[in-house]
Amino acid sequence: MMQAIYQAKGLSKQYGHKTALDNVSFEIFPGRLVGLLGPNGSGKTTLLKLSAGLLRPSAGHVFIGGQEPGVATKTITSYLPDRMALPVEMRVDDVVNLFADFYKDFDMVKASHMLADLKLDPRQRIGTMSKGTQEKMELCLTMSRAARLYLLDEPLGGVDPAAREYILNTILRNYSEEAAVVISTHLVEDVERMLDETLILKEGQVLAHRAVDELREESGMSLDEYFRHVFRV
Amino acid sequence: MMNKLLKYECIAVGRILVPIWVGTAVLSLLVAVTERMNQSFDSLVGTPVIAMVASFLQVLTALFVAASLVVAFVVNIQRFYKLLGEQGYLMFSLPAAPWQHMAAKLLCACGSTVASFLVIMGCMGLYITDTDSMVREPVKIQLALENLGITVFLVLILVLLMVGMYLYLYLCIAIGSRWPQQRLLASIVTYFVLGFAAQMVFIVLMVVGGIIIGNLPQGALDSINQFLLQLSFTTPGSLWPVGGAVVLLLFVLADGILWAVTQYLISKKLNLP
Amino acid sequence: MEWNIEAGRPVYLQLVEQLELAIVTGALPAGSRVPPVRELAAQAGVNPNTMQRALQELESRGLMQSHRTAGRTVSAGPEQLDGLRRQRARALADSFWKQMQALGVSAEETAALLRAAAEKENV
Repeated sequence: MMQAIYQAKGLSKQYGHKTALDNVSFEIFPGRLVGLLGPNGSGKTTLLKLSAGLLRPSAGHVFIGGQEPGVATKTITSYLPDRMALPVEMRVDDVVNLFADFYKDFDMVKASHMLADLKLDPRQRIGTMSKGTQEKMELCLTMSRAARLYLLDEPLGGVDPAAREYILNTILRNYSEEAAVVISTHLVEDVERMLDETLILKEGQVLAHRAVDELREESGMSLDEYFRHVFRV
Repeated sequence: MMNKLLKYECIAVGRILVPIWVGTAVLSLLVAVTERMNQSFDSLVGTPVIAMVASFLQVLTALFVAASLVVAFVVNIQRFYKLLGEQGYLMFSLPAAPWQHMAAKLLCACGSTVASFLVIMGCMGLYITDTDSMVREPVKIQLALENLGITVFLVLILVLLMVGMYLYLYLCIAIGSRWPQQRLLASIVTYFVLGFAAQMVFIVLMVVGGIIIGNLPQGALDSINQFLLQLSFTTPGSLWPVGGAVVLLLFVLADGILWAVTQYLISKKLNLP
Repeated sequence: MEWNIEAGRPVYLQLVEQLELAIVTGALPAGSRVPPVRELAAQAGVNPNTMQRALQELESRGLMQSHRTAGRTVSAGPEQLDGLRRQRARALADSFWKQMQALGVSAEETAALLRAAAEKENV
């Protein structure tokens, strides 16, 4: 029996009186591409931040490779935040060196190739790039790691449709085999084809956690249609 | 891990501080040169231009001296504030424990503050001439062998005060980040509230202490007096080291408490906005 | 190679169809090496597991062969290719005829139109 790389057990998070996540439990197995779907405010970012160890749960637990978020889980988790987190005053090669310094699984050659494809000058400062380029660069760094779990928060967030293809291709080409990938997005149509399973959140609760093929077969709808159906106003 | 964190911290802080240090040094050198030129020319002919340049440079140098302290302080506080904000998304994703981030930031903060002091002192040494015995003498006395004990004590107290000051501000920021929407405001309010609370506690302790001492039976007071007197008679000067050690210990204790609470907050209660 | 995956039909079936087509048209000629699963999946923007399943389906049909060390090659023989071509053509003709019927064009007229189109191409 394969071991789950990721487990959430009764995970809850409250911000003051507001409940962002409510008793969420699920497991993710290696080798799976999981779409974390839900409208804005459904708890996607909170779930990923809890998993990355940037938030502490109000109740329940997260286990990554059997451990709660900490130094051990951070060495095997590659996390792409929903915002630009690279220091704007740093240069491209400074940031690459920083990743290489801190992450043992960082593939310098891979990263250099990807950044060269983006036509980035190693001495360019992050702050002088366009927002789209910054996001692509951040994704390249995230995907240059041979992690066991990738947590990608809205990788398609602020980029134009042309760049979406680039981003999805980068993810598909570079995640290490046997790793699990969690992609949060509300652009269901764009990611539908690449997902094994979907975890749909609604108001902080798991509405569905299913294999995408299964769900399509049962509902007779594409995942995108299903999503719209569930969340129609 | 600590080494790497410290390295990146120093680079980030150095980027801002080093230019200011260099500026201070260059200006001080210019001041020293113009000062000497002024003195040697003065006896021959009046040189108002050189005098004007000299005083302008002096003002500028004073500004840089002030800046190297203020900026060192502000930058280091800002680094910790940013750690619990946007920058935390990168830093707390690194496989390092929260206390290591804090330790790296604190070490860098103290190191760069001390470095700023040393740069300023070095620069002053440049244009303080032999005639300025007013400055030289006290320094000489302070560094004299027989006063080494007290000097070391004072330096230690200053260092512990500096550590405490940074840790206190870290704590305020850590508490302030419990309100992610108004982090800055919450940190500032915490600064004043905690400061006020600490004063209150101190006053209460003083009052309680006073009451206890006031209510002690005469016999107990006498024996304490007796003990202290005896101590100072039998081994003259031994009260100083003992008292000094107690004071240092209290400072270390205070710093330790600040550290422990802040570390607890950023590891067990971390909530990035 | 060009991919065109539409929503609404199982991705897996579309991949099998398009790989077949690539073999028939010579985009993936017989005897050639098939790019790695991951590369194909990235090109098509689909899940590698789905692509893997499609390739395995083609293997089970004898159109591809996987080697322990050298990856996958297109192993379709000339007869197989021919069969596949005919099958495709029939399917296309069926769907074309249905559309013509929907337009109300008769069988004779359709045949004439096709002939005319073929001649125009030849000129």
